[in-house]
Amino acid sequence: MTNINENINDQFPINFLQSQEQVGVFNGQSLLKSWKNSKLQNHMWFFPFSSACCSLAYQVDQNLIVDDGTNPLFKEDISEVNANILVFSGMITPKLVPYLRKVYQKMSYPKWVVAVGTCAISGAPFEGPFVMKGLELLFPVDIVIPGCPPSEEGIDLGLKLLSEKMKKGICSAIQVNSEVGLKQ
Amino acid sequence: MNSHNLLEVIADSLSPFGEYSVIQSSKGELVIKVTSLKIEECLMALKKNCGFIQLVDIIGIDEKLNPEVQKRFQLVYVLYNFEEQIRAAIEIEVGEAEIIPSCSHIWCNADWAEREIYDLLGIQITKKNKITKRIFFPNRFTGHPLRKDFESVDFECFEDSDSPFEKDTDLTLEQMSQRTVVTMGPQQSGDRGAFRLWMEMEDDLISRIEPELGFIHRGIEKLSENQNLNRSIHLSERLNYLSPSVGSLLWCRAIEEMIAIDIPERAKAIRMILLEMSRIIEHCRGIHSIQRELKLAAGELQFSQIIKTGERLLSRYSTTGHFSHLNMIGGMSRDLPHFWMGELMEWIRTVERHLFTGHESLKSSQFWYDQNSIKGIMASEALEWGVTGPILRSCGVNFDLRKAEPFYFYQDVDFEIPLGINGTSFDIYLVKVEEIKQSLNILAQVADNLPVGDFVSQDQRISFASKEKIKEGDLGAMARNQRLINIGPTLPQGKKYTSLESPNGELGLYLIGGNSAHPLRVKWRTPSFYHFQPFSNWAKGLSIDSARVVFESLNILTSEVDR
Ligand code: SF4
Repeated sequence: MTNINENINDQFPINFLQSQEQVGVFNGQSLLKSWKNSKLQNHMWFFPFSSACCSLAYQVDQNLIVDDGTNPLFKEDISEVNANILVFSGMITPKLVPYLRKVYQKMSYPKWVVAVGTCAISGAPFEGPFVMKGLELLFPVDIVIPGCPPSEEGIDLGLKLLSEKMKKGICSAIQVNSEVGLKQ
Repeated sequence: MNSHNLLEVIADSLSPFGEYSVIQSSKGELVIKVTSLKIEECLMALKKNCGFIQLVDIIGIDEKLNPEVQKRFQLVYVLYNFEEQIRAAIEIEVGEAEIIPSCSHIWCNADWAEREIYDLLGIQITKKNKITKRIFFPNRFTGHPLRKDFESVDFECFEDSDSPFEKDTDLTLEQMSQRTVVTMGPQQSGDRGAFRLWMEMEDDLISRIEPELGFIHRGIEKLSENQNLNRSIHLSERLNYLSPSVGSLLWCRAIEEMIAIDIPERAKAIRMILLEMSRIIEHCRGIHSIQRELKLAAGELQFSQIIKTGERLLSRYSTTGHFSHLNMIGGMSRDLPHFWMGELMEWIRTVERHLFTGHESLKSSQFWYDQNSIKGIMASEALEWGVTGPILRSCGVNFDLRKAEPFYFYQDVDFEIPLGINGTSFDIYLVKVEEIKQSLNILAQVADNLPVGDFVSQDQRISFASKEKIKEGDLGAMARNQRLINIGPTLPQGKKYTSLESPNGELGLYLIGGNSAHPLRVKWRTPSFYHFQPFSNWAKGLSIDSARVVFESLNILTSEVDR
């Protein structure tokens, strides 16, 4: 594992609020549990991005997870540069669009995108002129997890599907002639 | 000074500035219509002579579809008098090309409210001869979303914004070179929502700070204008997603009061239980987030346990997860499940136990005390900025809307208002802990006297006809049900500001009805909007670490700010 702290861009320091829980937005028990068992956990990094209430879905049933230094998900800060998986939840407003594009561009190949919640899938609860109707209008999405907010089982299932996709090497954005292949 | 005297004082102080009219509603609220253009002087006189020291909110209204008015816009200043506990709404009409002077030198918190009005409605407000900036949308965006003739937002025209700081011309080159601009966000971990902070650092200290908002502006107010009343309940729940039932409670209560429906006593009691439970959970969330911020293990388990068990209890009632749709117009959508009250009593005991242990370990922690007593807020400052709720009480101002304007059974239950002295984060923490105890007290009293009977009103205008009648083939009943499903209840003509003491502070809703199923204007007055505004003042001169603690103790939610 490289030291990713070097790569943190000034523009995107994500360690302002509650920095010790970088994965904190998504550190729900279910995510941790299903991810821990996955073989890929040492190679692939999440970039969790939540703009609104979906972040809550993971904290409601969260057991207190103490950062004891043994859990790989808590070891270092994550920036979008080393992340392969963008987990986005929340509404996509016009102001977020340029930022999201930037994040997606900077992510390293191969890229997976998980859209969590109805807002990220279709903008449904706030359908109107102010929110975009889905993340796939911006870039290809691999997995969608429906619900408002999604249930724990839904998140579990979605992540299982994601890791299966990864094992089989199905990805929406693989760089051609890239040195960074898909590690299995 | 009683309210009769107050009317005389108002008459004396407003008469030099031209015509006006005062109407007092049955609940004692004043509506003052000012026709002259000296609005600045009028507001100044109201503050200086009549004791309206807090500006609650400013509301802009587009009257384009109303054929009776001559001028297109209307501005409503909602003011509050703490001595008399009276609210006043100052209404003035504004033409399309007119320019209104800013009143941010009278009340500091007017600044953001005016920026919002310019942004969403396009009413030109000048401050020091400059038109105010936009707040949610970037400056190069054209159009004003809350106007009735607004159509759509072009998603392609948005770009990443630049530094909002103007060059400080007084500084020497050397001083300039020492300053660096740092941005944070819009991605924030935790559950505060998306926003960006621009900070200018001098060494390790913050010299200027400017929040950038609008990242999750979903246009809740615009959306509610185009839907019927029932369909906007889910929007009000997502306003403050940490305590969803508070927003929907206010929405339903405001509409019930406008339609003049009396809801059953059982529904009132259940709503009080929901409100107090939300208060307990949200206060614990606030304390817990500071603990996470400081990486302090003492007491963390206890507070997170309170949150967890409380959420579980609520979802046992709602059965649909976090967003519950429990409140509906006319009462509750379902009755309490069997044995739920027993579980509630057990939860009260659990909270008491956890709170005692958690508070004991935090009280004795010197680190917790030191980190939390860096920045204090003065009472006068807090009043100027429109701060309400536990933060205002932590500076020693004895004000709680549950006492000042009691609704439901709040005048019958016994509770006290805890007060702080210094307005530091530590005082806010103490006030919150005491408030949790008082809320438990209220919960126990309501649970002891829970009324039996209906949980939803049987009024013809809002509730469905019974199944028996439909089976009998009663055509009138069928038509009524059809109408309720398709159109929903009708909002009568009138304007009304309703508010309640939400966990964070005063949550208000200004509603305008026009004898139709859709409201003509919806305006939410959210506590976070007015708590975020002074943050840039209070964080000056602090290090980033301390600013984080101050920020967390203000308990700001961006979904409430952006709406
Ligand atoms: S899908 Fe629902 S819970 Fe998730 S961000 Fe949207 S409104 Fe909030």
